[in-house]
Parts: sequence; structure tokens; C-alpha cells
Amino acid sequence: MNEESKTYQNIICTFCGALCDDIEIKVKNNKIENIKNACAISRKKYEHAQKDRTVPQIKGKEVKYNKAVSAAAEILSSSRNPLIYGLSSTTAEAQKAAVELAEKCGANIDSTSSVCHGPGTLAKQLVGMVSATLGEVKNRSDMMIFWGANPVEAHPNHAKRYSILSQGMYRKNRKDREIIVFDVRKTPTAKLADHFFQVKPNSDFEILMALQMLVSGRTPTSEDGRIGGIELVKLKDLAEKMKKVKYGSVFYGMGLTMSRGKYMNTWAAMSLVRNLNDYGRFVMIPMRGHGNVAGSEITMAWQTGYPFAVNFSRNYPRYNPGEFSAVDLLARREVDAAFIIASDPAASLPHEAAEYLKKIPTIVLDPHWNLTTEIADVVIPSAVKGIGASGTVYRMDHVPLQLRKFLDDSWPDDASAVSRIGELIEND
Amino acid sequence: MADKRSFTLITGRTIKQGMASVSGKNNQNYEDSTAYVELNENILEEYNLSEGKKILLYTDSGEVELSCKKGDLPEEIVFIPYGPQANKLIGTDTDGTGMPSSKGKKVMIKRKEGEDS
Amino acid sequence: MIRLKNGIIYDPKNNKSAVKEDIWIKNEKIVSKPSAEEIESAKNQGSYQEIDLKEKIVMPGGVDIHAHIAGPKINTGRVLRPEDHRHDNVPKKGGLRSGVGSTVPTSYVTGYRYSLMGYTTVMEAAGPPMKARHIHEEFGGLPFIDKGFLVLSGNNYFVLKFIKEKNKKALKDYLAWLINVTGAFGLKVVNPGGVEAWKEGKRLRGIEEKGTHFNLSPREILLALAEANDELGLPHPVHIHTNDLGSPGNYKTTISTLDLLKDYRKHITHIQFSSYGLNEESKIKFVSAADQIAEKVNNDDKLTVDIGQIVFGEVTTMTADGILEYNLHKLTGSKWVNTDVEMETGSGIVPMNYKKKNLINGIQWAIGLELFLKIDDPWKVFLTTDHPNAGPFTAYPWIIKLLMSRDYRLKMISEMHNKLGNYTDIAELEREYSLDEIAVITRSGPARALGLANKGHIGVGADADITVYSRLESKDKIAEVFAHPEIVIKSGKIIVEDGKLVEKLREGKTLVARPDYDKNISEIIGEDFKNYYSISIENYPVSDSYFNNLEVIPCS
Repeated sequence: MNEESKTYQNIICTFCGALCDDIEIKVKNNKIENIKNACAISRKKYEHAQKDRTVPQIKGKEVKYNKAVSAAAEILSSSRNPLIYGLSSTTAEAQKAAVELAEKCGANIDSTSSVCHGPGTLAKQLVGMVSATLGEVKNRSDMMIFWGANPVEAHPNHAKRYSILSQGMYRKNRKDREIIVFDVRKTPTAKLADHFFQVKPNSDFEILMALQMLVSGRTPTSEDGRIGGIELVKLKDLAEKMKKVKYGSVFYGMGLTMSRGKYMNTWAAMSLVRNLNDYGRFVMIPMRGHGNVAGSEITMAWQTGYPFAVNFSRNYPRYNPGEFSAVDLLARREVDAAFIIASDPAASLPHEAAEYLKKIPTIVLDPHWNLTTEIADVVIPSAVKGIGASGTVYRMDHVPLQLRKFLDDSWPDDASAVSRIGELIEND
Repeated sequence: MADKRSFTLITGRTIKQGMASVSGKNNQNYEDSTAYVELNENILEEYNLSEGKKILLYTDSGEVELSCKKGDLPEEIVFIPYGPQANKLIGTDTDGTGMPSSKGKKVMIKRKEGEDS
Repeated sequence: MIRLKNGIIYDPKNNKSAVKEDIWIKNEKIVSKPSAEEIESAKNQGSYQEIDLKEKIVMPGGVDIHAHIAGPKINTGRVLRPEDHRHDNVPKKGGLRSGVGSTVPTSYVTGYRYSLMGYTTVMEAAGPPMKARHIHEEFGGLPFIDKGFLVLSGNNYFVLKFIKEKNKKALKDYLAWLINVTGAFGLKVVNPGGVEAWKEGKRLRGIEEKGTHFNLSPREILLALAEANDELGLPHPVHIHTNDLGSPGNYKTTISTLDLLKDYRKHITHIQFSSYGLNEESKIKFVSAADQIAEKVNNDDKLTVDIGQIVFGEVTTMTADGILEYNLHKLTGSKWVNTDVEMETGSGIVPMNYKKKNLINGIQWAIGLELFLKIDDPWKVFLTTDHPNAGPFTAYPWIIKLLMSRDYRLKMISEMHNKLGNYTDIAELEREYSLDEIAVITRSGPARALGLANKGHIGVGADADITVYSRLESKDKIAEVFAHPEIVIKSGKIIVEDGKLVEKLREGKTLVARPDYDKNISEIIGEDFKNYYSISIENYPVSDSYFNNLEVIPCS
């Protein structure tokens, strides 16, 4: 069979939280023939989408799809304290089904947010956050600060579409904005900046608090004239500039959430940005990593009231990061089964936490082989989001988009797999 | 040569790691893009290392052997891309937040016995 | 087929006040008495049900014209406030999903609690167009009730642009397009011009001042939107959150707005927050202007209002009026969320606590009640708390009690600040609402103002949305009676029986309007959309896959 090729416009790439929606894909005979507008990572993602695909598997042996799904249901229904984890690279529909499944099983449910921007969400619960959608920043922002974030390597088209190099309404191009980077190392993003402030590792909190003081007209003391490795006079200049801009923006990354202080770093940044609104406008946006990690918090919240780290053992949602979060549950060996949805904890969690997955029955739902499918007892394949499966995803600024499938896939999507497992457990 | 001197471990994203992570986790590319450590040039010299040589890194949570690369880094920082190798050095204590200390952890390095300079 | 017999019916739209009459329900509708053959056939099929209501109170299902129940603001409120939920856990039960409650309840719990209170239709008060898809996602998990949303349009780039260009056709086409592609029910206008000003770091006062990018005054925006809304024949008039909302002295802005729009249909929402006087001589500078506002309402036949009644206790304020939430944050020091939405709107959230002993809060409380009692025609004034801004919707039964019982009002006043009487005459007002009037302000009136011909009454052809309350034995029991109806029927199905939810989720309808427009409008906005939005216009419309159960309410 030889079909005419068809071109799809404005396809949404699901790799990172920037969710670029201008990808152009040419398809022929159910295969991707050509890709336009994609960044280097996105291109690889599309090129690889139909390769290395999982098949249904139980203990390393290929089985029928339904058998793998039933095995998953059996594991979860016989577990006393299961963990459902991942979620950030799947659709909101699958996330919704996963919360329902967690409720049915009395499970813990956590997303990769807890090892990503989760601490930022904890900070938001303390102080709130002044934020905006990406287009607002593109159109208005005259000062962009990247703090512990390196979009050139993690969100490659961010600069062009939304920030540094974008063409906005009031800010037409690069010249109309001042770009500032705070980081412990001179990242490729830092090389695009007007000013690079090299942070001494684990000193973000001190620097942010110093900036807060300087903005409010007080000067912190420092014996060597530096705070967190940065000359105080330079911070003072920056604080004055921050007060004068019309619409400043801070994009923050793992440099704040993963280093010492964790949520308190983000708390300090959020407090600073909040205070700057007494002068001009200032907003901040987390540089969300996975395509729909924002959606995982959103979907969890409207159903449970909480963004991640939720436990259903009492038939209602309870929330406690540090207790019901994946790393802690695995490290303390509290869970007795795991259902990993569209994530690769064997690669991304601390080794000791990931190792425990080998000791308990582990189910993985993923279109591609990864390091966790290697150790899984049950592997369930699924259609590739945004290519062979439709659904809803939320950008880093909570803008929802609908993925449209453009290839036929051999397997059902994540949402139907998770729902099916739920039905099997209910009818058990 | 053992050394009590400590460094600060930063794990993070790189474009190559990102590209490899979506191109098959079991491919050699993914291993290549996540199984190395970047150090400042002076440190390489100090430890009598050259690019591609293996060193041992260890923290209070684990150890890993990785090959070296020169990186545009301050002397006290070592950088490893996110991935299974970096995670051998990261502990599971989350300070009650759910988040392990994936950046800013204290790490020691040790030149591997028998490695030629 | 259901026959409800021996109920005492309060159906103001059909002029039935305490009338004992049968109600017949077939499928989702109220029908006239079926023929004997039809009844027989239903009996034979086992689909006939007869319920003896034993002279209990029967009203149409409640209709809430303004509450924040789904979408980005309420959901960010949920994330922001774990402390709000932890004392109010709702376990799963039968087919009912679990969740948490309090001021920003989860979606399922919102559906449960409205249903348990006898409310069957709720209008989400404010949705940013760009995030409309999120609202519809939550609507899919908001059980039992029918719902729709009002789309924010008072600070929208294209709205302002077409008004500036005096291009009425493009404005109308754009608004109709916007309602269609976002799956909205009507137009919401929040602090017109003022939110754009906030994004530009400016502040507008009143409705005359110009100053934003397009150099328009709120007056020009309001007038153009009210006119377009009427010309599109939308079921609901333009739904306005006034400029200067929340500021002492703002009643003058409200009155200018009403004068400006005297020839157009309009609904002024949570008008309590827009009825503040300013008294320079008093220490608190704050005084009730309910008299002036009530007088305007009484003399304007194209106007309806809802109150946004203050309820003492915890609230989570949230609005598209970004600068208002900044002000509340500065006032209270509470945590503050702000989200500017490109090209369209702003928003903010600040938790607060209205205190009974606080004089200002007391005056705000009194202003709401004064308006309820001084607006003569109940068809013009509706019960809301602007949930969760002035209070949670679950407080409605206690507000009903305040309206029906002067004694209860006086008891409350006795527990409040002792100087309250210097600022409001609430204690002197003797009016007490009747059950008919309560039926108007909680269902028939809002249904009429929303243009929902099949709601808010129990005449033949109406949606079979019915609430049965216990008999009102004494005034002490008003709140309990209205908080716990015995039976609630939604779309012909019993959803509350013996005061308890049936343990099976049912999905209500999403109510939308679909005004006609010239399809060329997407070309006209195409260039600016491409340049200034951060998503493509192709990915903007909410597709039908988000609607499981849709009802299109016709435009006139």
C-alpha cells in the first residue's frame, strides 16, 4: 500500500514543559517522513517514536496485552500499600484515571514533580506566586532572569518562542530585554546573557535574601564584600535595576529546587518577586521539565485537593511530601508494589530508591523500553502521546493544549490501560 | 592517589543527554551521554588526569566510576549529567520534602589505581 | 415516569405559591399528567414510581448565577491551601469519589455539596479563554449539576482593539467566535481596562480615565460590550464585575456604570463589593452605600444583581481582577497568587478571614443584607457569596435564615462590633423574606437572568430538576431545612434521597451558547494571534471531545 503523504501543522511536542505547538510533520504510510520546527531533542524524539517499542511482557516473557493488564490488576489488588508513580509524560486523561485507580487501591500516588519542581509548589503553598503565561513574558518582559535554569539544553526552543530571542508586542527582540543568569556554572544559557552571576553552590538562599534586603533599601553585611560568591555592589546594582523595570520575569529551574534549602530557596525567590510588584510588575515561571508535569499537579489537585505525594489508605486523600513522596516511600521500603506510568525511575531516582523496585512487584506502562522496564515484572505497552494517542497536556504556565494523534498505533493509550486496570480491580 | 579534598556535585541536563534519553535508554548513546564527569581543567591536571580517563567518585550515599571530561566549571564543582550514574551518588534523604539533594552534594574523587595519566 | 404527589409547590415563575399539586416527570422533563394508558404501560414496564411528599416544600432545583467552581483559579486555590482541606475529608463511598472540602473543595465534592443543598445548576463565574479547556476538563469531573462558564472579555486584546477601531462588526464576530471556541455560556467583564492597566503597571480609577495601550476608558469598553452582548442575543446579559471593586467610595463608580448602561441589559455581580461609601470624617472612612445602590436597582428594569454576601470565617478570594488581589495581599499580608494571561486577562488569589467582631467586615456583611432587604423586587437580586470569595456556597442556608428572620439578624448583630449601628441601618430593617421570595432569589430569578427557560420552574416542559425540603416547622429550623433537602431530582433522576446522595456518579450537562458569526473573523485576528499569542490559533479552540453532555441554549 502506498499512500499520498500528508502534512500536519501545529503539532504539539510533548518532550518538555514548553510544549511547542508549531511542529510540522509529514507522514506517509503511517510513518514520519519529515519534521520541521523541532529542536534537537524533539527531532530525536519524533525520529525514535516508533522504534524500541515495548511489547506486553510478564517476567521477561512476551504475553498477550490483556494478560499483562490482568497481571497488573492482580498485583495492585493484592498489594497492601502500592505506589503509583510517574505521570508527568502522559496525558491528563491518564492522570485522571491514575488518581481514580489510586483511590480504588488505597495507594500512594506521586508524580515526578516531587523530584523536580515539587519544592517550588511547597514554597507556593507558603507564600503564593506571582506568575504569568509565556506569551505575556514574550510581549512585555524587559528583564528576564534565569535562575538555576538552563533552557538552552533543557528547553531548547524556549528562548526563541517565549523568552530571550522571541518577538513580542512591546518587546520586539533581544535588544529590548536585559537577560540575566544566576547559576553555579557558566551554562550555555549563561553565555547568552547580558550579565552572568556565578553562584557559590548552595548559596541561592543567601543571595535571594540579600536581594530582598537591597530592594527594600537595607544592605546586608558581608566581611569579604560578597554574598554567595557574588560581589555585594553588583547585587546592589541589580536590585536597583529590578525596581526600575516595567515587567521583570524570573524563570527558575532545578538549581533552586534541588540544592540546599530546596523549597526555601524557591520561597525566597517567590518572596522577592512578590515584593518587586511594589515597584513595577514582576513575575516568575518554573521551567517545568516533562511535557505534562504541570498537568500532573493540576489533575491531582482538582480531584484530591493536593498536587502530589497523596495517600489513599484511609479512602480519602492525605497529602504529605516527605512521607507519601516516591523517594521516601521507596527508601523506607514502605510500599509493596509499584505501578510506574510513563516514567523511568531506574534512571531518574536516587540509586537506592530505584533499587528497591527490584524487590517488589513492579509494573511499567510505557511505549518505549527504558531502564525500569528492564527490572519490571509486568510491562504494558502504550500508544505514543501526541503521535499515536490524543489527550490533554498542560504547559509549564498551565496553558492546556490538546494533542492530536496523527499515526495509528498498535497499542491502546495510557488512559485506557489505566482505566482497564481499574475496572478489573473493581469487578474482582 | 587518595585525597580528602571534597568537591560539590552538580547533576543536570545536557542537550546530548536529552537527545539520547528520547532515543532509546538502552542504546550506547544514552550511556555515553550520562556516564562521565566534567571537571575543571586545573583539577584534571592536579590529579594527573586527561580526558577519557576513569576516576572514582564517592559520596556518603554511594560511589561510581566515570570517565573524565574537561568542563567550564569552577574548581570546586564537578558536573555529571542526570541519569543512572549520577544517581548512584545521590542519597535518599529528602529533608522531608520528597526531593533528594541532587545538586550541591559533597563528593570526593579518587584517581583510579593503575590508570595511566 | 415519576409522580410526585402531595407536595406543597413554590414555583414563582408559574405563580404557584404553596399549591398542592402533582408533578409528573418523564425522562428528563416535567410533563403534564400522562394518559391512563401511558401510566398503565409504565407500571407494566416497572418504570413507574410514585412518591408521596406528605406536604413537604417543593421548589425547582437551585440555580447559582455566580460561583468559582472549576478551572485555573479555583484549582490554584486548591493547590495553594492544603491547610484549607485537611480538616474536611470526604471518603469514597460506593460509586462516589473521594475528595476534600472547605472553601476550595475538589471538583467531586463541589458537585456533591451543591446537590446535597438542592442546587442543580451553577455558572462558573470567570474563565480565561486560553485556559477554557481546563475548565471543561474539570466539568467532566463535576458530578450531578448542570454548569457553564462565563468567558472573560473586558481586558481582551482583540476586544480593546476592535472597540478602539470602532469596528462593531468585528467586535461582535470576535466575541461570538470566542464564546464558540471556548465552549462558554456568556460574557464576563471584570474591571474593564483596569486589568490591562495592572499588567502595564498602571492604575485606573472610575470609568472615565483612559490610560492603557489602546487608550480606552472603561466607559467605552463597557458600552461596546453591553451593546454587542444584546445584539448577539446571548441568553445572559453582560455579566459585570465593576471597576474600583472593593474600594471605599466605589458606589459612585457603580452608579456611573449603571447610568451608562441604562439602555442595555446587564447583570452586576457581587454588588455588595461595589456598594461602599466613603466617609472622610469617620476613622474607618468606610460606610454603607446600599441605599443609593438599591435605589438604582429599584429603578432600572434592565438590571439584575447578585449580592456576594459576606460570611464570617475563612474564605479564599479569587478574581480576574489582578490588582484587587494585590491590594488584598497588601492589606492582609496573606499569601498571594497572581497569574497574568497573555492577550486576555489577569487573575489573583488571596486567602482571607472575615471576622464577626471586625467593624469593616461587619459593615460589608450588613451592606449585603441591606441590599437584599432594600431591593424591592426579588426578581432583580440573587443569592450568591461569590464562592469562595465572600464565603463558601455551603453557607447559603444560613443566609436564607438571615433573610427570613429578623430575630436571627438581631442575634448576629448582638455578637458583632458594638459600633456597627453607626455605619448601617441593618438592625432597623424589618423585612423578612417569604418562601416565595426565597424561591425567586435562589432559583427562578437567576434562571431567568441566565436565560435558562427550562430551569428555575416546575411547569410542563421544564427540566425535571426539583428539590424537596422538609416542612418548615419553626424559624429556628430554616437553615437546617435548606441545608438538607430530603429529595433532590436532577434531570428526572433522584440524586438525593433521605437527605443522602445516591452512591452513583452522574454527569450533568454543560450549558453553552453558540452565537452565529462571520467565519472570516479568524482570518482578521490571524496575524496578531500568530505574533502575540504563544500558541497557534489552530490549537486554541476547545474541541467537542471535551463535551460528554452538551446543551446549547439558543440565542434570541
